[in-house]
Amino acid sequence: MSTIILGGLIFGTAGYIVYSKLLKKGAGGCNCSDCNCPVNSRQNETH
Amino acid sequence: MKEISIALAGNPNSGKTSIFNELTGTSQYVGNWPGVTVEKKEGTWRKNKKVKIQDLPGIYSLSPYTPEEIVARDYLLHQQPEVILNVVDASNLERNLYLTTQLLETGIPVVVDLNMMDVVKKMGNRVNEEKLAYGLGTPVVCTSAVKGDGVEAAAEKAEKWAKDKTFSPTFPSYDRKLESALSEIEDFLPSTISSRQTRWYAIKLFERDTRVQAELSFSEEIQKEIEEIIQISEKIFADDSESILINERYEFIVKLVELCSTKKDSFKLTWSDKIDRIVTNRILAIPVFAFVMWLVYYISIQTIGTMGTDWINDTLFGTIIPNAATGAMVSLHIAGWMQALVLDGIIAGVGAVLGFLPQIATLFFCLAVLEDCGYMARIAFVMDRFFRKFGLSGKSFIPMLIATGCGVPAVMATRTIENEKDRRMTVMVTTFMPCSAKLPIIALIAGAFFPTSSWVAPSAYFIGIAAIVLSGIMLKKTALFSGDPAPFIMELPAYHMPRARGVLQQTWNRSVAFVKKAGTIIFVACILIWFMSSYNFQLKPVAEDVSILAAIGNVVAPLFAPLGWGNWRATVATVTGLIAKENVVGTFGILYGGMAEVSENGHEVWPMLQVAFTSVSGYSFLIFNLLCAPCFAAIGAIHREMITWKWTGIAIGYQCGLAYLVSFVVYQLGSWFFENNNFGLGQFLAIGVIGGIIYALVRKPRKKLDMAGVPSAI
Amino acid sequence: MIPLIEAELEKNYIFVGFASGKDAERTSVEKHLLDLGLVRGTEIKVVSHSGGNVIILIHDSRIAVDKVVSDNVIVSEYSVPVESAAISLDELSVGEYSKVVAIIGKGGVKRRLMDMGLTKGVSVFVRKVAPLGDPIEINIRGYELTLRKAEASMVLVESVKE
Repeated sequence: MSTIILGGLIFGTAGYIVYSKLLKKGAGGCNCSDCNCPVNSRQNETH
Repeated sequence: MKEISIALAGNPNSGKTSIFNELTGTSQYVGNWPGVTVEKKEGTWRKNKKVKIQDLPGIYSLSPYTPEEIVARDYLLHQQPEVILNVVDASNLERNLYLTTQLLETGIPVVVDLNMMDVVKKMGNRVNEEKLAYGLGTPVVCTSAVKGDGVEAAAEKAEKWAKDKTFSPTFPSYDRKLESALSEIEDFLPSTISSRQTRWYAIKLFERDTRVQAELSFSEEIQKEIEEIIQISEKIFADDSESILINERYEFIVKLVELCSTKKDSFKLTWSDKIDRIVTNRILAIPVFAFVMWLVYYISIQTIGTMGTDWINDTLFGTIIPNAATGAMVSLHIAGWMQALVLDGIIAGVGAVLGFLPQIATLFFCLAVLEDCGYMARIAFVMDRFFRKFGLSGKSFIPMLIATGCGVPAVMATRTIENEKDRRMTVMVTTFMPCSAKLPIIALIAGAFFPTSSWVAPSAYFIGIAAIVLSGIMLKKTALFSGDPAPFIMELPAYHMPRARGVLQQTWNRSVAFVKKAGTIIFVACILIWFMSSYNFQLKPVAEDVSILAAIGNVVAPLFAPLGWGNWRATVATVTGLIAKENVVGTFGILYGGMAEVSENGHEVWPMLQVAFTSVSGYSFLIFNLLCAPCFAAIGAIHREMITWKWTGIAIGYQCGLAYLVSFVVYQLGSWFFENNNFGLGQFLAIGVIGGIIYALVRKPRKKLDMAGVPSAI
Repeated sequence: MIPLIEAELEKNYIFVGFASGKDAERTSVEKHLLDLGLVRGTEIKVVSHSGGNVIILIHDSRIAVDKVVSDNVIVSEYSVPVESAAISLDELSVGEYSKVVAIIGKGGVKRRLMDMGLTKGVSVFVRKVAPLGDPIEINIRGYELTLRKAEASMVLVESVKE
């Protein structure tokens, strides 16, 4: 039972990260470690 | 209520982004050199969501010189914000007010923001803002953005001024001979131009601005009359029309500054200039720079930072967290495979990356100090002399400085370079600089193979610079990039003591970003890598050596055998580095760390690495990963700047090719020299490669250069 | 007059012009320097030399330029007078001869002045100036004309040695 819960937690988080970083519109897969990625801010402006 | 836009405009490095961050609650990157902001950024005011704040790239005048200045100019003139908050560096009034005179002439309401008032006070000078406001005919506010003082009040003032119904623009008044010429030109303007803008159009016509001439499309007769007016003025002032205006503007400003500020003789050399005498000295400059960077890397990666890293690796991720996690999972009866995922996958992988946080935070701190005190901007100047010898301008060095943080903004910062060929070349070579994501690789190799040598971590930085310099020489000689180096003109900030708040904030922001990345992208990648390294294609749990990852890695690995690390683990680590460079270390954490149950010294990965690599092959691995194609995000940025896939391909291909050749030479010759390998075919080829590189460096340029363009020996 | 590259440290200089010459064919680099405040008559001080690259102090700010630029910037230890001698009529003193160069100013007034014979090239002699400099009495085309200072300032003249 706890295996399923923990599994759900881990894979759920991973799924959400993939979704928000790669698939969501405007995410653009930019992941530079600097806090301001100019690419991100530009994409935020467009919508 | 209608939405209004407040545009932040001002000279480069006057603190616009600091004010923007303060008003919008964001943490855009602030740097102490001109040209950090290359694009317009929009945000909403925390206090009033209906007010939009626009952060514009810094400009010296409304006649743009570099591409990013065009962004700011076009926005101000064509989008017409409701109000301009003109950020002025109060410690340098004369030069900053020059833009103010031009902004006032646009007819858009302007609020002048005297920023850096704390610096002015510290210097023992005073600026009387009421007199300044009277002289300019527009509201003036005082702020100190670094401390956050007065910023809200400035925005409130701007908002009020934008909504002021009684607003009518007041313009700086010039010599009456010029004034009468301008008012004569104004008489020709069509009535369709609003009264606010007549002054601006008259001035632009006086400057013979071709764009405005085309926009108004006057009849030939009027054009002739206007030309006559201009020529008369040129005769009167014995100067050309543009210089007349610039002269008059400065004259207006000098009078105004005299009126409203008291200052000690500023035309004296200060201690800041005495420092410059030493650090930009023609002989000492490069050694000083080399020493400073050596110190920074040595301190952060091999001494102070290491202490923190040791604790995190040994204690936190070595015992505390795995023990706690094991205990918790055992008591909850979690399935064995899930325990393995958490321990050998996530904790080993993410932990391996996070372990380097102290070293990286120390490096960020050192770089922030160097930048904030003003030294980094000097480096561009010092390097210009050096770069010019092989045909690049010192301007190319600004992106490279930014690249020590992240390659993506660095590639974008190349927009400050006017010359297209130089810009392309800078895009290609900028990512050779070790970015923060590559630091864990440097720290890992330096720690595992060279714990006693102080040169390994700094060498990564200098290899980056050497790769840039050599690339510059070689590429300039190809037909693709031949041409004159762009001229170098850059304003230098005065030295000052680093401000704790700014430095700590920047260190914090970057460290948080590093942790965030470890918790997101690296986290996901670790799950995938663990899965692929623990299962085979039939999805059955197997030993690592027969896993999916091993199968794939073994196909590619022979490619890297000549570099000394043709095993599948190193190959896979390199490839996962394309997603994010931290993954190289994360992958090692999973593949090497997971195998040893508990090693004695806690550094689980190190002994396994020492088995898999020799010192020389480890170093060759480090060089390859430093120089090869950057992460996907940076490749994307390169593509955006290069526009065509052909150019992106050339850039990536060149980077990987160079990385391969350099690592090959280092491994082949290094293993022969230090590790008693026989002198064989590999060594022979390596010498051939060196010969080829030397030929590429000294050969005659492919395309004949204009002799004037060849930088003469300095 | 020397190029900036040869200027000594810790000495004040005055900016004279660009070595490349013609104002009309100014390059974008020169235009940028003008915008940065390098206009004729600006005081310049060299902060640091680094093999042709120099850091200069103008208008309170430090600007770094490379060798090509510093070679092109001409400075002088002393200020150089502007070569044209065009001044406005009200700046002349009594007894001076001059020649009209141009009439500036707005349509109506300009027309009137020209109607009275103040046209390009005509010679003018200042006879009298009232105590406060207003009005001014001049001799032109053989007759006497009294002008107010405001009008006189619109007439540009060149001194003529008589």
